[in-house]
Amino acid sequence: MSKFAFSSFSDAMNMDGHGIYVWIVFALFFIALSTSFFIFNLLIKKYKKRIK
Amino acid sequence: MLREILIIVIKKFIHQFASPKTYFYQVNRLYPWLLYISLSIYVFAIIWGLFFTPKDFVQGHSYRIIYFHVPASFIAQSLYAAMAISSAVFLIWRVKLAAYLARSIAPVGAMVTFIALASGSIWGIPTWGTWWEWDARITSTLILFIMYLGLISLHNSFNNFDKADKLFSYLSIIGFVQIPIIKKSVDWWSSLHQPASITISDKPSIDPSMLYPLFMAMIGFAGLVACIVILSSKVQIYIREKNKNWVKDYV
Repeated sequence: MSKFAFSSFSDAMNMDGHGIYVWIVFALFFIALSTSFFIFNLLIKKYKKRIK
Repeated sequence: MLREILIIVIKKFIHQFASPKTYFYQVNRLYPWLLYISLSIYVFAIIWGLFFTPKDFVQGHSYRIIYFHVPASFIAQSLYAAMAISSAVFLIWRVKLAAYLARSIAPVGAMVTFIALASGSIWGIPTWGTWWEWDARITSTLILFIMYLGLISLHNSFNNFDKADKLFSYLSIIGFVQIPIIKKSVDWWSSLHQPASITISDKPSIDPSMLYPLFMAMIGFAGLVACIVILSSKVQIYIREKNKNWVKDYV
């Protein structure tokens, strides 16, 4: 692994003005993956309840 | 003689593993391992890619979107291939589990294709100066997204699962023609989208310091998507096998 690519934490967040794009994509992935896990687990619970 | 034994063993294996009950119990055992290992790999790869790889000479830091966009695009197409293979297995050998799997891959494929399109659009703003262009790669990926949605709607429009599975399978196999078109779109047509940086035949055009975390992100993301497909397939099993004794016993 190479060394830390930024000089500070705020520099890492800003990414020379490109941070906004990178962090929006990060948020999109986080939301999409966690929502998928949540929805399918919810559906499993729902159908299990129906079978019971 | 050896060939016959091999065929019997393969048939026995397919017959045993193709049972929804066996599949259900096997994936239940596999799921926690796959989830925690994939999550660890993915988190490690993302931290590595976002903070510990050098800045790109041309694109600056915006290239870091590669660690999200490339795994999503690759998995979106792979999921379609997996869905078409499952559909073929269902139509040829009448394995009902294959039909359940094909149907459970569709919503996950749509979600992954959507995030591939959205992340590509966001990446396009700093790189191309536009979030959308009717270019061959982007348009063919949009068609893939519409195909996933169309297949889901088609399956949901039938009350009879058998008819729905058959039509779904035929159409998903026909739609497979889209996958090589997406892959080759950047070579066949003049496109804003860059050609593939990683190919089987050539040396990757990407520096190893950026490539290793990308490979790890692809593996981790594939594992997480496989976990979502497992959950989706469990939903299908609960819907279709609800009257079976083993499901009632399990619940």
